[in-house]
Amino acid sequence: MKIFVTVGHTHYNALFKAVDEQLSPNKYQIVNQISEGTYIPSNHQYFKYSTQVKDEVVKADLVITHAGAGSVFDLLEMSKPTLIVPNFDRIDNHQKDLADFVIKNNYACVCNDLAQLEKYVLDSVNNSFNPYNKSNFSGYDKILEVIKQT
Amino acid sequence: MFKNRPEVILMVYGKGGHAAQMTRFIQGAPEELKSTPFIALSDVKIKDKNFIRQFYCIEARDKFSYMKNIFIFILHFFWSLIQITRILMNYRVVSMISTGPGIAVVPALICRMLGVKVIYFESWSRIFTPSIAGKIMYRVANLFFIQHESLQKYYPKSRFFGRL
Repeated sequence: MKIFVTVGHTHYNALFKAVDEQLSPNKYQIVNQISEGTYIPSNHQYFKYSTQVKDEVVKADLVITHAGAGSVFDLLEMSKPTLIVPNFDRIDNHQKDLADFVIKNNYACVCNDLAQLEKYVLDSVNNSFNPYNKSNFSGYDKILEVIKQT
Repeated sequence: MFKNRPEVILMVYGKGGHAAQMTRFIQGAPEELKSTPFIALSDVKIKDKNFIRQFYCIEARDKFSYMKNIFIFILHFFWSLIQITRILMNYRVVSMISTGPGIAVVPALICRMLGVKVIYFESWSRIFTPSIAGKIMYRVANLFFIQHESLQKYYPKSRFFGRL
């Protein structure tokens, strides 16, 4: 199985450590986008940032991502099999809101226990999820109206 | 010196998801809005032909440590004050549009004092709980958008027009 692990513009050492230790290179072909992280994967490929993120996403059978909204909404809109791992290293619980939203609507699998990462990986590809349909932003006329008001 | 300042729309955003929302906002924007050039006040650049200049500013707080935050906030406060002053001296800002987060607060207050219209988007990652920046900007902005209807109870006068 091809897996791409991405954390956008933040860092998330605990996730890369779990991927490295629990997902064997014999079973999984993994590319990690570690961003500013200091944990360097020893069993799998990695890079910090790349303009190739979209290509890696397309190539992967499963994408593991932090619960950053930019990454999550992009993946849901692409209907990509996704495993979301909220970043518990962060001091705000900002990622929890989005994780709860995904769980409530059954859009994807959410991992709340890094010790059981492989179980969640298998759930993500074996379970079925609801399609994510969003209504696109349509408030531009409202903005122009407010700007023109004097 | 304030005569002949070019008209611009000021876009204020932080890196990561906030920059992603701004990118989507611009991609969907009608020509009428894009007929005025954009300038950015941000900690990351967006590659888009509508931007004629970027002013750099650090974020208002650090996401990983409380200890650093007092120092970062003080630095951010003066930095953003200097940058918004430079912007307003050089450009006639017709509107400020921000996708957050806290980087928007100081420039928005100054803009409102000078009669510049401020438009703010609560982050799309806020679904069940309002953000600190959102709670402040709800009081400051002329137009406040939420991206999930579930937030309406916290922001009764906000507008929901779909998600970026």
